[in-house]
This record gives sequence, C-alpha cells and structure tokens, in this order.
Amino acid sequence: MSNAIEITNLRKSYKGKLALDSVDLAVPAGSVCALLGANGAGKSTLMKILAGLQQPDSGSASLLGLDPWKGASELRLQVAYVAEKPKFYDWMTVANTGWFASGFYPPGFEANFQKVCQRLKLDSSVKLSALSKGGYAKVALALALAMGPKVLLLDEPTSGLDLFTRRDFLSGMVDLAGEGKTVLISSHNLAEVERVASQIVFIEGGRVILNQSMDDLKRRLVRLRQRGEPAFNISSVGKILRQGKDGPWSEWIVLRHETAEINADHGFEPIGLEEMYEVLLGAQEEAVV
Amino acid sequence: MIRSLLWKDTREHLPTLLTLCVGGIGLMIGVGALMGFEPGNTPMRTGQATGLCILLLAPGIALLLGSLFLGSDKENGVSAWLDSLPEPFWKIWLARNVFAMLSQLALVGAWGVFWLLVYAPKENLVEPVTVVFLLVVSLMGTGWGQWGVHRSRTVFGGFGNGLLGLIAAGLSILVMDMFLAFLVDMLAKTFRAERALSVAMGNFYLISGLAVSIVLPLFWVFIEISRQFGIPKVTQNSIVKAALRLFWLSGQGQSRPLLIMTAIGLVLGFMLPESFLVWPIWSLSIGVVSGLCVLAKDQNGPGQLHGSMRAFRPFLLDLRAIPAFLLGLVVNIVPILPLGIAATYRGIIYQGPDQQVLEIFWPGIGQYIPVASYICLWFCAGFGTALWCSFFLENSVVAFVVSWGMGALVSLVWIPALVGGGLSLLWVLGLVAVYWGLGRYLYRGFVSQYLSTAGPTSFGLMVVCVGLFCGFGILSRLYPARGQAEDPFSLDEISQAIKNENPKLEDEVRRHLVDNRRGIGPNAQFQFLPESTETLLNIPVSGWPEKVIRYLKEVAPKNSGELAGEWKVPDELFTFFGANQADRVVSEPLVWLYQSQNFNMQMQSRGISALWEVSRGTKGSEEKFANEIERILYLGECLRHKSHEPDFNNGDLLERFAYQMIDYHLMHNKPTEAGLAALAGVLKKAGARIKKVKPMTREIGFWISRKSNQNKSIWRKIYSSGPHIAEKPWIAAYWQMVDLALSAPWEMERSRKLINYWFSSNPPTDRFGSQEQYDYDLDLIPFWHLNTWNSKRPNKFLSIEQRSQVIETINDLAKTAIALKRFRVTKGSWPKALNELSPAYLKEVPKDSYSQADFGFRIFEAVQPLKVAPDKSGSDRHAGAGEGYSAPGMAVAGMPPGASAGMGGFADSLQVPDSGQMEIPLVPGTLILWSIGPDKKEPGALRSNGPGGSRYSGMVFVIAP
Repeated sequence: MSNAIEITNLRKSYKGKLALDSVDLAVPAGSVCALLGANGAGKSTLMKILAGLQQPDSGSASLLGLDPWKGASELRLQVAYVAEKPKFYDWMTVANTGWFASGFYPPGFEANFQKVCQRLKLDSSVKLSALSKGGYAKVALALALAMGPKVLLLDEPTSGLDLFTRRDFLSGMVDLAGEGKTVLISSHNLAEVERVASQIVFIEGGRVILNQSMDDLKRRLVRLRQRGEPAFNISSVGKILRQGKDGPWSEWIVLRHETAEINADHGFEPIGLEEMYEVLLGAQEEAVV
Repeated sequence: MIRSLLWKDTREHLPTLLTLCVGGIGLMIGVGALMGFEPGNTPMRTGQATGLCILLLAPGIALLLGSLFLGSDKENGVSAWLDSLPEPFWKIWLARNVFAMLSQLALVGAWGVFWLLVYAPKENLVEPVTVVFLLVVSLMGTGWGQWGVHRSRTVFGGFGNGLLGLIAAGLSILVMDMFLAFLVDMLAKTFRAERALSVAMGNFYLISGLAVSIVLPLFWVFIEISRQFGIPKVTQNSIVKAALRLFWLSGQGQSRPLLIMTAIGLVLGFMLPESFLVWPIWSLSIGVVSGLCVLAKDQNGPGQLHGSMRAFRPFLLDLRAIPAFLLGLVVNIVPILPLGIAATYRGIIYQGPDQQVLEIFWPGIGQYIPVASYICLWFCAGFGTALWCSFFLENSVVAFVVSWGMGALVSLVWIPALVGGGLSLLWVLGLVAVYWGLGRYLYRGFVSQYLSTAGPTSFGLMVVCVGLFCGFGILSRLYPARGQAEDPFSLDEISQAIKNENPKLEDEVRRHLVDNRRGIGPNAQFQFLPESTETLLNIPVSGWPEKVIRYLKEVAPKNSGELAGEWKVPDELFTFFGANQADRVVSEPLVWLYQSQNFNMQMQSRGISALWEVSRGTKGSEEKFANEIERILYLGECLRHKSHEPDFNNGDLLERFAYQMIDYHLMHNKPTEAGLAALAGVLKKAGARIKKVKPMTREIGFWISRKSNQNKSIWRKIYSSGPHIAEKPWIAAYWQMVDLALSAPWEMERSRKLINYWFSSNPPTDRFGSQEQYDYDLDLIPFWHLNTWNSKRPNKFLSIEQRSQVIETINDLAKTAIALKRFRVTKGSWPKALNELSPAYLKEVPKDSYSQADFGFRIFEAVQPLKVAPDKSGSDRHAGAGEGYSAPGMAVAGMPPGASAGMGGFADSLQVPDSGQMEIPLVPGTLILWSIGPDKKEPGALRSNGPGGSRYSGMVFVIAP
C-alpha cells in the first residue's frame, strides 16, 4: 500500500519555540490516521503544513506525492482541510457559503455540498451567524466533503458536534477510507477515534512519540492483571510502562516488543486508547519510551 | 472564483460604497452651499477647487483608514479558509484588489461626475485634471490597503501596508496643492507668494496632524521592515513592545486615534482660519468618522456582530455610548430648545429657520445654520439609522434604503420651520427619532455586547456634531461682521430684559431688530412668503428676465399683492429699467429684491450673484456690475425700510461698508501695516475710534460710535477670515469699496510692481519713491482690469476721506434718482428743479458734496450720432464700447457719460470731425443725473485728465423715462 502522506524529519518553529521537532510520519492511503496529543503538542501545525498553509523550516513533507507548499494549488483540489476553528463569512447563509465556495471548485461541488448538508441535517437557509458551534463545524465538514477529496485533513473536526452527529461523522470517515480516501484527523476524543482510526500517532512536544497502526498498538500496548507475581519475566516481553497494586491485585501495562505476539497464556489483554494515551504521556515524562 | 468574489465583495461593500457616494455628494452640496458655489458655469477659485478636492479625497482616505482598522479585522480569521481554496493565492488577492479598485473608481467617479456636472467651471480644466488625479491617488491608497490587509492577514500588517497608501495620498495632496497654488495661480497671473506659502504650510500641518495619529503605527512598520533586514531580535522585540505599548496607550484600540485626530483637526482648523487647514482637516475629520461609522456597520456584516470585534470589546470602552448619547442630547437639544422658547416668548417670529433666532446670540451664524443643520441631520439621521437598521433588519440593502429614507424624513423638520413656528418641537422630535436608534443600542448593548461597535461610532457622531456646532459658532464669532452688523444689545441685556420684563428695552430690541436688522418695517406683517422668493430662486438665471417678468406680473401679485401694493413697483420698475437692455439685465434682481419684501444679506447676495451671472462676460460688464451694485445696495436700504429715504444719518451704510471693507481686505490681501492704516482711516470716516491696529495678527480693534445712539459704543475686534468666506458672492458687492482702500498709494506700489511683473517689458523699479509720484502717468498703467473701481474713477488716487466722500455722493445720487423716478411716475413729467422733490419725495434734497449745490441733471432729448475724435496716435480706434474718449486734454462740455461706463457715452450733440459714429443706447426723455465729482470742474460729469485720455467720474445715474 502506498503512503498518501509521508513526512521526514520535519521541523517548524515559531519565534524560536519549536513546534515540530524532527517529525517522521507515513500514512498509508485509504487509512484513517488519528493524530493525538495535548494542546500545543504540534498537531495543528502539522496539519497546516500538510494543508500548504505554512512552510516548514526544514525536512520534507509529501502529500499524494506532492510538496504541500509548492504544490498547494494542485493539491487543494484533492485535499480538504478543516481548520480547528473554522471561520467563514458569517453574514452568508449555509447555501450562500456553498455557492461561494463552488466558484473555486469544478462543477458538481454545490450539488455535493447540498447532499452533505442534508446528510448532516444542516438547514441551508440559515445564516452562519445563527448557527451553533456544532452547526458551524458541520458547515466546515460539508465544505470539505463536498469537494470529494482524496485526503481529508481534519483538525479537531468533531469539536462541538453532538453525540449522534459525531458518530455519524466518524462512521463516514470509515466509509471514506473504504473508498480509498485517506483521513488525517486530530482529536481529543480518544474513545471515538479509537473506533474509526486505523493508525494512531501520538505527538507530544512537537515530537512523535508513537506511530502505530491501531492493530499493532492493541497488540503491543497491553495490560496484565493478576493476583501475585506473574509466572514469567515481564521485562523480557517488553517495557513496563506502568506498574501498580490494588489490594491483592497487581497490574502491569507493558509496551511489548514489536515482534511479540499476543500470547493469551500470559494473560495480557488490550487496553483502551485513552489509557494508552495516558500511559504513554506518563512514560514520556519519565523518559521511559 | 471571480463570480464568487465579486458577489461576496459586492454584498459586503455595496452599502458602504453607496453610502459614501451619497455622503460625498451630500458633502459637496453642503460645502458648496457654504462656500457659495453656484451650480453651473461658475467661476471657481483655485482655493475652492483645492478645498473641494481635499473634501472629496477625505472620504477616500477615511475608507482606507476604516478598512485598515475594521476591514482587516473582518477578514481576519477567514483568510485560512480562503487560503485553503483551490486557487493560487495571488489570483484571489488580485481579483479582490481589482474589485477594490473598481469600487473606488466607481465611488470617486460618481463624485467626480457630480462635481463636473454641477460645479465644475466649463472653461477651467483644473478641476477635471484634479478629479483624475484623485482617482489615481484613491486607487493607489485603496489598493495598497486592501493588499496589505489580505497579504499579511493581520490588522497591523494591513495597517502598516495601508499606511503606505495613506502616506502616498498625503504626499499627493501636497503635490496637488502645490501644483494648483503655484502653477495655476501663476499662470492665471494672480501669483502671490504668501498664498503658495499658505498652501504649503497648511499641508505641512495637515500631514503633521495625520502623523500624530499614525506615527506609532509607522514605528511598527519600521520595526517590521527592520526585522526583514535582520536587526537583532532582542532589539526588535524591545522596540516592538515599546511601540505597541505606546500605540496601545495612545490609541486604546480602534477609535481614539481617530478621535484625537478629529479633535486636533477641529481645533487646529479653527485656530488657524487663514490656513488651508480649515477645510482639509475638517472634511477629513468628518470623512474619517463617517467612514468609520459606515464601516463599523459593515464590519458587523449585514445584521451581525463580527466575532473578532468582541475580542476587542474590553478595550473599546463600551460605556462610551452612554456619554455619547447624553452628549448628543446636550449638544443638539440644549442649545436649540431654549433659543426657540426664548424666541417664542419674545415674540420674534421666524422669517426662516432658526438662524433668525440664533443670530441674536451668534451674529452672522445665519448663513451657516442651514448647512450645519443639513450636515448634522445628514450624518445623524443617515448613519444613526443605518446602524440601527443594519442591526435590526439584518439586511444591509434594506438598511441603506431605510436609513437614508429616515434621514430624509428627519430633514423634513425644516419644512414647517420654514413657514414659521414649531421648529423647536420638531427639532426635538427629529432628534428623538435619530437618537432612538442609539438608545436601542444602549439597551441591546448591555445585553448583547453590541456597544463595542456602537460606542465609538456614536461617540464619533457626537464629535462631528460638537465640531460642527462649535465650529460654526466659532466661525460666526470670529467673523461677525459679514454684512450683519452686530446687534448692540448683548445677550445679557436681552436676558435681563426677559427677566425684568422691561417693556422699554424690549421695545428697543424689537425696534432695532425690525429697523436695522431684519429688513422689515416697524408695522410690517412678519410673514414669510416662500412663493415670492423661493420660486424665483429656482428660476434659472439664464432665463431670468423673461421669467421674472411673467412671474411677477401673473403670479406674484396673487401671493403678495398686499405687500407689493403700497407702491406698484413691478410695472413701473419694468418701465423704468426697461429702457435699454444694458440696464435691463442688471435691473431684474432689483425687482426681485423689492418683490421679496424680505431683503436681507442672503437675499441680497443671491440678487448680486445673479446680477453678476447675467452681466458678466459682456463687454464692460465689470464696470456695469460695480456701478449697479451701488444702486442695488442703496435700493436695498430703501426697501428694507419700506421707504425710499433710508436713514443714512445713523451711519448704517457706512458702518457696514467699513465692516465689509475690513473683512474683505483682511481676507484677500493679507494686509500690510499700510493697508490696515488705510482701513483705520476709513473707519474714522465712518465714525469709529480706533483702539489698536495689530498688523502681525491682522487685527484691528475700534469703537463704533453710532450717531443715532452716541451712548452705545461697541468694541469690535475683527479677525481675518479664511478664503472660503471670501468666496461669498455678496462680498463681491463691496469689492469696489475695498478697492478704495487698496488703491491707497502705498498699496498701489505693490499693484504697480505686480503689473510690471506681468508686463515684463516694465520690470519693477523704485521710481515711485514718493507719494506724489503715484499720480504720475496713471493711464499708462493698465490698471483698469485689475481695479474696476479705478477704471471709472478720476485718474488719480484720492485720500481715504475723499473716497468716502465718493461713496456718500453716489448714495445721495441714488436717493435723488429714486425720488426723481417717483416724481416722474406720479406727475408724468420730470421736475424742473430738484427742489420740487421735497418734501413729497425727499425730506431734503441732498446736495452735491463737491459743489454744495444741487446735483446736475438734464433730459436726454434725442438720439444723436456720437463722433469721436482721433487720439494722439492719429487713429480712431477708440470709438467703440469699453474705451474712453480719445480726445486728449479736450474738455467736452455738455457731454455726460453713459449709465454704463465704458459704453462710449452719449451726448445731445457733439461734433468732432474725423470720427466714426455709433448709436446712442438711450431713448429720448431719459434723465441724466450727476455729480460734478472731486475735481469740481465737470459740468457734464465728464472729466478729462492726463495724457492717456478721458475718464468719467462714474457718479452718474441714468433714469429711463
């Protein structure tokens, strides 16, 4: 499978402060890649560089084989970017916005936009100024989806959406991936991303601290919980990221070696994405990883 | 892409453009009225043109500033989305800039077309050139501003880039003014160094004033540039922080720099009235504030408050709206309401809008009130309701239509005021309507944070209102003497009279107002007759005589027959002045003046202006004009008193003459000490006691002792006026009087040098070293086209006292001429002697002050050929109109000059061999009345002096049978 996104040793700083530090990343085409990290971790900067809105200081980035900065014009017909805080002309109605944007895209955009609006249950006659935060986000998504992109760059796209819309939206991402489209999505909502992402990238302090497919991650980052000491040497299986005791119960969260297979005999079980994130951040702070 | 961007930008900016377009035209109309422009082919002085140019430019700059302050904020945040659209960055911005330029093109184009169609003189290409120039400047500024906003995607970035446009615009103004001042003036042979210097200095201050409010952002631009060139960051940061902090402290966000600039402009503008600061800064201030208002509305988008504005909210001093609202009420209502109440209480009935009342307190303000009100209402109603509608109607187009409609409705309060009464109430109602919108702002503001926009906007409006009111007030106080003698009764006296109910003083006030100020008789009905005056005003000047005749014969008697019935003036005046066309064209205004029954300076100015319109351009028109002005002024005095014997003993005319002379002299001629001394001489003649003359400050203080009231002395201090005042048409009526003072020997030297400069074959010399030499060889100097008065005056310079005597003599002649005409109308024949006029037609027949005997008069009996002798060159080229007789040194007895100086004269019989012939333009039976003149040796009012030929005294009245 070819990579839709390839990033090598990417660096970006703002006024001397490092926002991205030697980032390497590859996102296969047709995958849903979740970019996870705390506020200020560098997710949005990475998104903007990929969207061609910012130029990296050094390193290289490739989107569908093109440099996102130099090939921005070409890429923008294939890559949709939804900003973290999308801002449009508030005096326009939803339909106005779609009509306005259609002037920049090939024919069919406006029809697609209307369909997406219907799917997202957006009233196209309402002014943007009258929309809720979630409604505003829906407009941004509708604009992104209406162009039929090969790559979707979604910076916190579900922020403000209600529960059911979020679910619809995320399942839509899976459908897009099924159509061979690549989705790079940043989010704080780990539980939701967990359900749709095929690749997880943890980013912290401008650095990628973990980049794994969801399957690999579930295979490697596991929990062992049992009474007393285990019958085997846990360290030989992988790195212990967290260890605790709860009454008679002992618990280990282990980052197993990459080659390790899940061995049910060992009693390992997969953990949730949120817990993974929490453990990895803790490990990052302790320089365990 | 183009489609989308055009659609969006049109939706966003169309109301702004339309508003600025209408506002600009409104300003032009208002300022045109204020500056005395007449629509059509009106001669426009360079100063006027420059002022109007800058006035036009001001809204453009305001638009630029507004876009910098607000427009950038509007786009801020959306840029990310626009940037992510699949079009090259440069294409989008190029398209938007093209639209911006086209918008500006349309805007300035609309102004320019209006200007060209209405105001621009057809024979002068300066204005069209200037329009084009403005266009280029505006395009430059706007383009750069827009580009800066979008390219840098920040407010400051846009501001910095836009400043380049502003600086370019400012420099362009300077260049434009210098161009106009130096090149045009010099080419027009009216070069005066001080004028050009004034222009340069005015613009220096103008740009300095702008710099006050932009110096700190400029500093930021400098820092930005320095960053690009690698100045160490430590230095950068510290300087940036310092600059931003300073900017923040001085500006507190959006509005304070503009308000500061407005205040500075207003203050400086009125403190330096001689400079060009008045109109540029004032108009710029209005333009900036209004632009801000419009753009503030636009900033909200149609019907919503931009989110990013809220970010500024804590710094925008939300509560400004409260003092703004209160200030608006105070400024607008408080001064007006008590005036109206007081006027009503005093029984002073309006002849027109409030100026009649306000003039009691602010003499001379009347001429400004309509324009001030117009501008105030325009802005308050227009912008106030625009803001309101934009918020509540959520539709900018509807807001635009409704707001201007509302503005027009509010302006209608003047209509009932014109017919008298109820003005104060309507004024208050109008203001309530206007401020109701702002009141709603207050309410909504506290709820929805809307005050962040409404506060500065309404405050800006209030600044404009305060500026207008104060400005007009200051102006009127600075120049109280323009044709409106100061009321000797002070405000305190009137107030005291009201308080004490002192009927004596009240009567005295009334008598004075009636007799000396209001142009109506003591028993006249105080009634304003709009049909008899306004209708006439609307008749195009070019077709006036016929239309006026028809109107007065068919329509006016129905409307004002009662008032006109005392003396059947119209027909008789037509007969009187219809004797020949030369008189006719200058006499129709006289008919109108009489018919109006409302003679005052404004009406008079219209008549004089119209007179000039119909007479200018014809041969000898200047002389004709100057000659007839005297008669009109005199008749105006007669009509004002509903009597044909104006009481000159109280010194009114002389007093007014003195005031006007000073005013005009100070305005136009930057008087030297000698000039002021000359004026002081005239003032003494007028009965004044000179207090002090301050040449450097162009002030003259004096006491006027009114002969009719010796106990009342007035301390008057007259300051110089700006050129905009000088353009008032009625000032021209006194031109000839002022020329008396100007032609004082010491002033003549300057004139001679100027003349010699123009006619470079005679370079300036010092040969005129003594006063006596000024009398030398006057006719060799082509002074007549410069000084029309001198062209028909004796060809030597008289003393101030002698010139005053000339004025008095002409007035006496006019008074006698009217009496003669009345005699003729009543008796059907001319009197045998002038003493037959008394006492029925004159209480006392005035004597010729030069002979202490009766004026000379005779009847023109028959048409005779006029034969003119060859002049000393042997040719006979001066037999035509406009030239004097050419018989050198030849006194021709019995040959009085024509009523229209320069027409070649007329005689009953004159036989001079070897001459051409011409028809005499008088009908038999015409009466010729004259004074022997200063040389006292002119039985036919013809004087023959000097080697250059003959000159008429000019003190001749020709009365048609």
